[in-house]
Amino acid sequence: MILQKLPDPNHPNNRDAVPVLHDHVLFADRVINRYECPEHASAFGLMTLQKGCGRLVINQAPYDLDAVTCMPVNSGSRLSFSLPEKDTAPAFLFFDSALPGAIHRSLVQSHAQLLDCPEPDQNPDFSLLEYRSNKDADLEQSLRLLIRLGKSCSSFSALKADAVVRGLLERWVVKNADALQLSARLEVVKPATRNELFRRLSAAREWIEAHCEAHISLNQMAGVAAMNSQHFLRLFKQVFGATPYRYLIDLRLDRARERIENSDQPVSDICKDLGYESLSTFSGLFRRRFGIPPNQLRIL
Amino acid sequence: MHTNPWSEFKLRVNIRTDIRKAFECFTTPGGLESWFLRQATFENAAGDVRRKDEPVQEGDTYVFYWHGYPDTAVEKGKVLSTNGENRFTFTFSHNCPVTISIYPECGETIVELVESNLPTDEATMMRHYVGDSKGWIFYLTNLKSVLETGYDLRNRKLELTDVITA
Repeated sequence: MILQKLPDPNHPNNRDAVPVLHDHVLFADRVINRYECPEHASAFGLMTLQKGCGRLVINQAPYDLDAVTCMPVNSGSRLSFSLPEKDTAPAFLFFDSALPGAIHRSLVQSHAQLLDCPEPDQNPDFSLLEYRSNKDADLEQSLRLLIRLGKSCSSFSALKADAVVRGLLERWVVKNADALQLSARLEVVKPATRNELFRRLSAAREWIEAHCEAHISLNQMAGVAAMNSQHFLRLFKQVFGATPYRYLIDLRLDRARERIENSDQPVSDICKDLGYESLSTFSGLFRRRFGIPPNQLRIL
Repeated sequence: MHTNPWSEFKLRVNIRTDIRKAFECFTTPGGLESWFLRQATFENAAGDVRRKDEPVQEGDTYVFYWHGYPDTAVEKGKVLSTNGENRFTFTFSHNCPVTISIYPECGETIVELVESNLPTDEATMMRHYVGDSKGWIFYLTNLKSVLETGYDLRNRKLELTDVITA
């Protein structure tokens, strides 16, 4: 069964040992009392909560976790965590240790190559993704479905759960491949520095995406990346090919286009919702990006 | 040679139908959707999608979606072989081969399903053997129901969960 409770720290088998978090398992159950897990080597996993809050320490760096955030943990990272509140509900998904390598190969190699060399490659290094981000709708839906399937008597429930896990993992493998390409643009020598800078920039980018409809400043964005604003501006452009402000404008305009195409909301309301006070400024930016004014797009 | 008894299972169902009809229920996308799947999409090696009534061929890849589940529960696999008449093999559930053989017996048509190469490690053996055989028992029963009476027993409602009919 993919669904399990966190190991009981008071069980005689666990009292003097580090609880073993087996892989290919979703730990999702109400924790009635405070829960502490000492430091241990982790499998590749995604850690989030359904309810309450908690604190993770990964390779000595602390991260707060709640029901809207998600934290990937790389295979081999040193992980400890505590769930200090009563009635907290974790959702910690650890992947089968052989699966990331197999999926990585299936995505990048042809069937013929896979048949010629059936042994899986080493698992990919996910350390570039080891930063806290907002849990997206897709992950939320997948975790809910896994929890449902883990308790279900439905036909092929284990097979369907495995398919959901594979689908999730595929998306993280693709995200990791993108991260590898983007991080290579950073003009730094040390790999550890490159990884750290990329993680900070990625966390800031995801924060911008989550807050793009609010008034946000360069200082706020740089603060999320824990950098000074000029350093952040330069590195963000180096990696993502646009300044943070340009990235923000493009995001807002993409969202505006999506709403214009898929809703009946007046263009002036969409413009205000996305933080533009002047309709003419918004229309000008929109036309420059898409080659057509917003009102005409709706007519089409 | 000794075979681990948990590495394979066989199921047989008797159906009052003809062999051709039963075979089409496994080997055309439309046939599979009539008793098994919400959506079955097969592509040939060139990436062309098969028509709903077009027989699938060896080497085709498939994507299966289930009634009662969102698209995140997607099963992908491959057609391993087909003789175009009464025998068909495809990968399913962790690439385990599933072989369908269809033949007459006592005036009825037998659909025989063998799923083999199931993992036999301690951690997953029961999950695969029990989970997959339990799943096929419902769906083969539904195949009999659809072919003999026209009644489709599957749950199609996303909001209705935890039932053996999906």
